[in-house]
Amino acid sequence: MNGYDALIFRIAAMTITFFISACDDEPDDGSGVPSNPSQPGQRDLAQADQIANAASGNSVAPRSSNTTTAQGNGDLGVLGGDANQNQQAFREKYGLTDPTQDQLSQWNEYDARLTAYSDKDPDWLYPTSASANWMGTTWTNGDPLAVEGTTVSVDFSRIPRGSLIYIPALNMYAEANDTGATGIWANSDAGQMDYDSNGAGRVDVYNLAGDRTSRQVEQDFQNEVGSNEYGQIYIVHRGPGWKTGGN
Amino acid sequence: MGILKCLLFGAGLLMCWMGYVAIAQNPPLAGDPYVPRGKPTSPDGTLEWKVDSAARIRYRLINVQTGKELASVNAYYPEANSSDLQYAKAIGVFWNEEGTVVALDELNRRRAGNLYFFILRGRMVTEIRPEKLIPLPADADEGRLVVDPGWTSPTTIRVRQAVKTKKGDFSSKYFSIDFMNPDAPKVQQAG
Repeated sequence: MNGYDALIFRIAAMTITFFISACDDEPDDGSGVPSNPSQPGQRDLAQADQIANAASGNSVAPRSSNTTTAQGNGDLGVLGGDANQNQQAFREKYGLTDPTQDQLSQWNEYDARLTAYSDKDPDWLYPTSASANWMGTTWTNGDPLAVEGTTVSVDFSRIPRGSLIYIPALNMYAEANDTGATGIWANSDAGQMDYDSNGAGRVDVYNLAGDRTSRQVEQDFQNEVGSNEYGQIYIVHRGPGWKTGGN
Repeated sequence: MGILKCLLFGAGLLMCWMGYVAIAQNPPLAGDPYVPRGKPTSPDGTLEWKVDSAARIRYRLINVQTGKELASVNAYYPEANSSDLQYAKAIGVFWNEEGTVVALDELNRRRAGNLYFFILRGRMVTEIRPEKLIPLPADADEGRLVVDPGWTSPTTIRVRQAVKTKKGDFSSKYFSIDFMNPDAPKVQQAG
């Protein structure tokens, strides 16, 4: 085999190896779970309207030097990347501080299920979010980038798109500008507290995975917020108006 | 040299297949995920899927000549705003050669979106939800079926079941659905 043949052989072998590794599926057992509805039911939509309406009229938390009542320790390192710096910049830009008990009592509190997603999600490789983020940064296809430390994905029929929320378990303010498999969430969480009469649905917190696998991201997050994932969130402002000081 | 030529030929075939898969993959592995896939018009040009956003966003199968609606389904995100419309337009429409079966596949955005099949017999259109043919596994937290990569024969289409388990693992499993008998499609696990 001469050098040229060897080169061709290596290219062919690499191609085949790459192809084989790319097709390495992990089989699992398939068995009977009912299919998911494509849309939320009328009852859910009515409830969502109720929640959205109840959340209206709130305003961005003013700066305050009062004592904090947050449960989280404020370290968002678990979210990866520059989560802590991004949260800090977010707070500084919009005048957000650790909320006081008075502020918390003025905001609308909802049951939620706190879950995690990341840029390692194999069904969505693009680190994008569904609507403009607070930094105005964009991905190559024009989509706004999700920002670790401030972006959460929610069910827009429960929490209006672009809302400002506060997550006590993480002591984190977040922008609800991304969304996900909302029909599936509503179906699989039916009867659970995040989809009950005071439920805000799932709050899927964006993580920058870095060297971690998507499962590690999930486990790290669960270790941080508790394995049952259930907790409370506050809708500080309904819709994106808080970014411009409007309602 | 003969073996090398064989290997080279095989590699070429694999590259072509990979290119085909990359184009058909839902969502695509590279480039703009919002580019529509497949072809909205039936092979004989008489029918077409359109995205209607007059009120809530929905997909309509219409007769091109008469404008008559033969079937319609709501988009996964049905609010008529720019984001939902962008998502809705990123649909994949996959007709079989004879135009007797069409797959309507919304963009798979983190298990959002739906896959529908429609059987066309004369003026009759019947909707089939593939989840009834291929249920989610019991440990699935999220999951959906997507066309991947498309029709592999005049009556058979390959789909991928994308699953996120309750533990946070991800898996994909491939199936072939044969519509030779449209009243009783046959499902087989595919490689």
